[in-house]
Amino acid sequence: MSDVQKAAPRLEIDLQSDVPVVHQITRGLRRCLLDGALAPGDLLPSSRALARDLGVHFNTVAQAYRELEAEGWLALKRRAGSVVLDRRRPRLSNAEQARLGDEYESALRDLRADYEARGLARAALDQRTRRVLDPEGDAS
Amino acid sequence: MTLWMFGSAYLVPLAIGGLMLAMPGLSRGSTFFAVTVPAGFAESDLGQAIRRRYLAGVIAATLIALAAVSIIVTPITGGLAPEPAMTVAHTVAVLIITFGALGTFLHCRGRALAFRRSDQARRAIELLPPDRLVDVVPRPLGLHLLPYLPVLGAIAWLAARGPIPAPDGAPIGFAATYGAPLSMLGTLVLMHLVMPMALLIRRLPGHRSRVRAINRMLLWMMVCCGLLGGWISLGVLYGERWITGGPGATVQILLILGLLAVPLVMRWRGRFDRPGHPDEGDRSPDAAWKLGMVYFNPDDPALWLEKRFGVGYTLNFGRPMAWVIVLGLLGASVLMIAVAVVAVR
Repeated sequence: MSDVQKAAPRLEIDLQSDVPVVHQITRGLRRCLLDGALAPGDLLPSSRALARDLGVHFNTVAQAYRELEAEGWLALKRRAGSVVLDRRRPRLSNAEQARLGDEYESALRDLRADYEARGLARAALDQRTRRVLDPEGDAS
Repeated sequence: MTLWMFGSAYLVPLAIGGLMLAMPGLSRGSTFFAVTVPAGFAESDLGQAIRRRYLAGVIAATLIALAAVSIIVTPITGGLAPEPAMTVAHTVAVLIITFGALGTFLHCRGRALAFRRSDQARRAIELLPPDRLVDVVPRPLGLHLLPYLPVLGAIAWLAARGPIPAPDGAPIGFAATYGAPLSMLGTLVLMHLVMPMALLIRRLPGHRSRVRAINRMLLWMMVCCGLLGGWISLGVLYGERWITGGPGATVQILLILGLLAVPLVMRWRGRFDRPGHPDEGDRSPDAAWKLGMVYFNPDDPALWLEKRFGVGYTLNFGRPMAWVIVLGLLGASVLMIAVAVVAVR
């Protein structure tokens, strides 16, 4: 990694969340990988060190790392930590693209309905959705 | 008892009292008297009142220790012989200040516990690459030789002077000649081995600057120990006056005070300045810190972690490996003492 100082990517978990910790770690890391906060060649802490830093069980982090390794994001090394790989976007056929798109849309609708049912106002939902879609526009 | 030793009887409790007073300032800023409190609590009126209570308790304990010392070392009131009186005075002073500070700390912790945070579930970390040893030890690396030089110098000087005669004319043995410098070398190596532990502890915000400051403190304390060990090692050559005479005692007192002053000076220069925000906590539940000092949490994967009060590292006694380490260190100490006893015989 270069010596140029850049802000270290952050990972956040909530032990009281309904989402299992392993999924929170996988999703948090995947988000860092997708938005470029973690670039190919970057070193991640070993699963043991990350478990120690987060204060969660080693197997939880190891499982999250294995999932990302299976997706092609990481190369796991036993002691030296894990290296971010230059992952190519999987090539999908038109039918597979359409199926995944439908799946995404359906999951999004379910998520909105879920949070609306839990009491979050529709205006707030819209605002948060806009923030996700255009974080810079929301900040300005 | 010389005037120098008389003075040291008062200086040592004053230095230890000063060290105890600085303890809250040496601690990581994410906890307050070993309790995770809301942000701003330490600066609030209540937080300041708790801190003042701690300072008052430690000052009272130091004053009581000084009074006890004056009773022990003043020949008019004490019936003790001068030389043992010095040792007794130091022991009594250290015990009074330590237990006084501990009692005050527990009182302050008890008050702070009423305000502990319950939202310890959110944890945010920076995904830093693995640390290397050079990231966590003081630089330049040549500094690490500094503590050993006085002891190695003393050994070289003893070797150059050849066999040292005992009062009966026969040369004294190897153990008597080189025992002190060699045991000091072993102590310095053990102190040095504490530094890589920074690689094993949980990384909290500001990790590298914090552990580097801790290791720099350790290195300068090792320098004081090395100078002290080198001086004492030459006692076998220059006689008892080298150790107990005025100049000798002065040098030793100054080095001991220097040893105690290292953390105070570093605190004064802001080397331990509060890395970490109170909102971040230290990813360990308050309930797992027994008396605020002993960490017992079988669910925590961390074996080593930073102390919550003061400065340095501690073990998670909820993990079996911690007990293996403690028993191993105890066993090694017993073995070293046994070897020393056999060698002297």
